[in-house]
Amino acid sequence: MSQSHAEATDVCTEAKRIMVQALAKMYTLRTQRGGLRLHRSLLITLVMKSARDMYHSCRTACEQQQQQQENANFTGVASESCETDTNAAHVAEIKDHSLGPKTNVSQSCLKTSAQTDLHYHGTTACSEDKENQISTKLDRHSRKRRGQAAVEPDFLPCKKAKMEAEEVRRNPHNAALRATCCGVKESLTHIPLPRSIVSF
Amino acid sequence: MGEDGESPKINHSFLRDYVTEADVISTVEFNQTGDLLATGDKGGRVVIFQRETQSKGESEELGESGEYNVYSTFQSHEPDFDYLKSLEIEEKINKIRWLPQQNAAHFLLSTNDKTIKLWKVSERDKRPEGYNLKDEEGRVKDFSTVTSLQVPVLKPTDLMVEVRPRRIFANGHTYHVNSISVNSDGETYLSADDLRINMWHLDITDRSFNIVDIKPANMEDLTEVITAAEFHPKHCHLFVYSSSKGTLRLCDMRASALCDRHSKIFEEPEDPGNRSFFSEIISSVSDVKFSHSGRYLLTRDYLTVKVWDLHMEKGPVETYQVHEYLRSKLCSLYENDCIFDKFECVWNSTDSVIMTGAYNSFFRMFDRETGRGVTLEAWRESSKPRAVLRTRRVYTGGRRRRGDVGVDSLDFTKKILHMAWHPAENIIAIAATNNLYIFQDRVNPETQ
Repeated sequence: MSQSHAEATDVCTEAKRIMVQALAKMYTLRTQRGGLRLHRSLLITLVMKSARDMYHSCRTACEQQQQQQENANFTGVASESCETDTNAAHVAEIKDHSLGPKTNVSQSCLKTSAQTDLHYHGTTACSEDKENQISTKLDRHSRKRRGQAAVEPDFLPCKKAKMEAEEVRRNPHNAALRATCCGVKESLTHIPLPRSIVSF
Repeated sequence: MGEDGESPKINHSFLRDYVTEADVISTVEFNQTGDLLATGDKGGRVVIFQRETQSKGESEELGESGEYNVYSTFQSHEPDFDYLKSLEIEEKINKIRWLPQQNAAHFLLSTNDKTIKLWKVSERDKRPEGYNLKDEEGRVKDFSTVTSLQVPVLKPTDLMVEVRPRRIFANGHTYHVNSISVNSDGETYLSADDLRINMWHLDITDRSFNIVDIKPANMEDLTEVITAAEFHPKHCHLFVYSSSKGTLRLCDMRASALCDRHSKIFEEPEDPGNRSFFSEIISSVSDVKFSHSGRYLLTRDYLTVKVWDLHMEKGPVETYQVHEYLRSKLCSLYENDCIFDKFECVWNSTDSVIMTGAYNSFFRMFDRETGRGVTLEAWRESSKPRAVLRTRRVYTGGRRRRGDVGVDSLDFTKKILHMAWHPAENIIAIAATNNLYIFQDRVNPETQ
């Protein structure tokens, strides 16, 4: 039982690592000469999706095993501790991959300049990063217009109040990575990983 | 280039890397006769090599073939800037395709990410002499000195190769152009980017027909992109395009103006045993080539080359493992971005041998009749001019032989992505970063 738990944790870690690397690669793509490479962006997104699915199933297995092992404890407490550990590790990893004092990986994904065509509205940041959460909301609202030529650039400041960050977090459309960052357990169960990678 | 000489204490590596980056060859292509070989590089230059014509006599009897020497060099594309999107457009030459020769001049198409250009390569080996009004240097003569008239005559002069752009096919693509292919009708060609394929007429630059468009209405629904496209060598109405999902679609332009609906789709069901995080990446087709006969298709994905029969859609007829030993290393290859490398594949003139590149300056040839593969190396340290290429081996277990290379010793920065095979003879051109290797089969045909 414990060996399979260890294996599940290994796969969890591996999946997380791949997801974090994918984020870093996405960021690098945006700054590369020649503009965004659609093919590579798509492949990285697919890898992230695979890793996310695997991570999700591993987490579920991990939690189930935790529950079985600590059947005397409250379920919520057990999952909470499991999550806290993994989240701490995850946040630490993201910070390791940060590319500068001003930007961390998740923030940079949304920090669009005029050069980029990438709207990776899935990977919004931790709860501290209000700016990116607001951008998510912007993306969500602009989704209807995405099919047309004009897309609202998300480097414009959002006029919404920051209090709405709470609502945004509960939004089921938010992606796995942001959810794992924030430790919101429920979001993992129903996240379609958005595959929007270009906006034009 | 990078291996020359000893560098002094001053660290020139940045400068050296900068210089050689532009010299990295990005495409290689023989013309239809094989007399000309064109290479394009990341700096937007095209270098054309010409085969020496051998005089009849001893050299032919010995089975020696002509060598390739530089014929012409020109700057095809310059770095550009899309002001509307604030995007830099790389000058890297993605593909070169020769047009069939119709007169003394040669024509080739070269493309970068956005613009396709038609170049005319012509020779001038005569010049007119004996003008009445100008002297030899071109200065206008004093008319009073002209006492008689002469007809200017053409005199032989040193060979001069002129390259001029004849057509510029711009603004046809929103995404990055990955392929161009000249049609067998001699009048049209196609260009493919990630989501669309356009058909152009060689004489018309302000219009192109969109024949494939796989862009979804909502970009969030994007699941696959076009990775390569090619016209059928004989049927001017057929073309094939490959996708990042590993599928091939054969389209017939007679069916409809927009060929979004394929006539045939070639795909192989995925082996569930090999499923991993990276399954989608390694199944993406990086190159597709029709056989000379037009009956078969050759595709390259990350670990294999496959031969498909146009008459059978459910799977390839032959699959060759290029470097299966990398399957367990996919995670590291993903980390260092090597997993995204796009290898090309080529047929030989008789469609009996296929060839593709790998890492560590290795390239692989597969004999379709025997099913056997051989590994060769394009590395000047180990091959002298006129030496026979020796086969190499990657050690994957069992008895280790001398000269075997371990998987962990492979140099993943030395990758053979681009190559070409002479249309009629066993001459191959291999691009290894910024070096071009030309290997010729020296076996006397009578002894084969």
